[in-house]
Amino acid sequence: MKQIEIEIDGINYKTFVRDNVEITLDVETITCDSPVEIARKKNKKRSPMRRSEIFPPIAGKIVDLIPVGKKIKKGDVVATIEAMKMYNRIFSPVSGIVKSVNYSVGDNAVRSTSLVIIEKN
Amino acid sequence: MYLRMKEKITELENRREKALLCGGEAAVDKRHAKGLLTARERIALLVDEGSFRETDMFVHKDGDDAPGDGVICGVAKIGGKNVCVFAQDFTVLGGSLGLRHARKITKIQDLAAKMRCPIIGINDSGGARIQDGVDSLCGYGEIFYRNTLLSGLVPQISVVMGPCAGGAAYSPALTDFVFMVDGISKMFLTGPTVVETVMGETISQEDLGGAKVHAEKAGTAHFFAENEKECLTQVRRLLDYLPQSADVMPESKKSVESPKNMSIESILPSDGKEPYDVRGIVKCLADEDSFFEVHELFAPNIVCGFVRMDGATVGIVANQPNYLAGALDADAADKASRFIRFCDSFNIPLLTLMDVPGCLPGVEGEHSGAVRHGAKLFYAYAEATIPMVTVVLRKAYGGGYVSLGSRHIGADYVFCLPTAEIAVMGPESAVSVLYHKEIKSIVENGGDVESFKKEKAEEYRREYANPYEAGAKGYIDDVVNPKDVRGRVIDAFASLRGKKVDRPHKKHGLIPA
Repeated sequence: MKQIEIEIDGINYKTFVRDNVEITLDVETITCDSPVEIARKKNKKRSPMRRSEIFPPIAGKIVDLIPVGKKIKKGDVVATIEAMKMYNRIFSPVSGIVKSVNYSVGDNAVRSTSLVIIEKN
Repeated sequence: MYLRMKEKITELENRREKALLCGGEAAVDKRHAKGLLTARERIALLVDEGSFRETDMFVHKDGDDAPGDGVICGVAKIGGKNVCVFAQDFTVLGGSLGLRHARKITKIQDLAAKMRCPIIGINDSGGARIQDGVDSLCGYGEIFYRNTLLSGLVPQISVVMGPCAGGAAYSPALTDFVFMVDGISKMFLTGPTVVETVMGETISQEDLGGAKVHAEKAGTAHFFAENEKECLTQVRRLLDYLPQSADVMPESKKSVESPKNMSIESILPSDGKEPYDVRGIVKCLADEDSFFEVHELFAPNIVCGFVRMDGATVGIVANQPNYLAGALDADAADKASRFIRFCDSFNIPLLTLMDVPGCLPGVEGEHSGAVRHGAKLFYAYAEATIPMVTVVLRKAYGGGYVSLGSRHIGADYVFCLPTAEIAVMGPESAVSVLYHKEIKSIVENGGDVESFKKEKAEEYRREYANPYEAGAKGYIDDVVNPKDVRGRVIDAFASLRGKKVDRPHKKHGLIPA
């Protein structure tokens, strides 16, 4: 088994692949300015991720959400989720700029879909 | 005659000097170069100055090249009170555990049982001494056996300050409190090499079993420290709250007022949906600067720790609305139930601060055993015979209310703030169950279902989601003005000082696992 790390649109994806198994990747459009590199993950020498994806720690209704493009500091509130009879504030673990927001106010947030993606500065 | 005596004393001095050098100057220098303390330095930092009395200094394996056989044991004082201590010495055979090394530890464990005093173990060992073969397994077994027998008799504290891998990891896990240091402590059953060979997963020692992982995710570590000195200071602070053994009460200190610049009213939001940091409420109720949190980084949806109230040690269990709405899940139940059982073992009264919306719903949780984990909380409260006081701050819904120190599960006093809401479920959920038919017909006729729901929810809140419904039935003892809570809790514990509960004799119960 090998671990592979792929970077697509600036986001790192990590996955395990069995030995001797062919991998195909279906993508709609590919723009490549350098050949795709499959990097073997090394101990400690992880490439520093430029982006941070924040997942909801609890499922519930989005009542407040930070807009795209907003500059934020570590510890700022990025979203408020109403769940378990409570407004749960979700704090950013990093400072940076909000790159994308995956819900709208009123949506039901689920654990597996991230709330926002922050580009670290 | 005189000369022979002198020679013998010189020989003793020489032998002692050699033992005090640990694994030799070179080995000690190597450690210092890595920024690590030696076992002797650790003990010196941990205990009261000059109080350490070493035992078994001259134990070594066959041949004479392993001073102390890789572990330093003895008796000392912390805060003026007796403790037994052992510290594995990495400079001698990598702190590996051979039979004599293990027997030194079991000897000091037996002494702690006789002295009825806390025992602190500093773990820093490469693991089993392979040359000793099955003997080292025998050694581990004898240590684990005593860990279990001492459990609940004297406080047992483990400080992991180096590798603690394989079977060795079970000894700290069997003790009451585990301390770990960032970047230094490493604890796992199988190391990264085995994990990679068997599972094909590459992971560093730190990511697999470092202090952060054990403090945040695995929950093995109750205390996390940035460095060795901070860690040993934490151990001293913890011992300050604890009694010497299960036979005695924790010592009381001089009573200190609670902080003047904080009040419950200013922390507790009036909107029931607004979260807050419950640790602020704990500080309002406790003697100033006396709050010492346990398991701070693990399952933050429940807060556990020790405080002093009117100078006496009190254990705290409090829901934390700031994280996961303060809802209960498996980790929170594990954390709190273990803490409650510790308090019960060592005669520490328990104060519960309740603001619980219920149990966290989810497939993942249910499938990983939320029921059997949650059951531990009921068990721990019901089994405890210590004085127990509960203050309902806000929400007290459903099973969460029953489990977290309600009167029904064994609390001696239950006080409510005027903001308390004790009910089977929240108003919104209750309305959709109670008015299921009405809502359906309004929807079918195209009526305004939202305003109907809102009106009914308000009605429910007025009638049921308050402290007076439970008060009318005698399920709570009083509704208290927030500014009077500290005084009422102190008086309640004072009245319970002689609490005695008789239970039928049995071998032992079976806590859900």
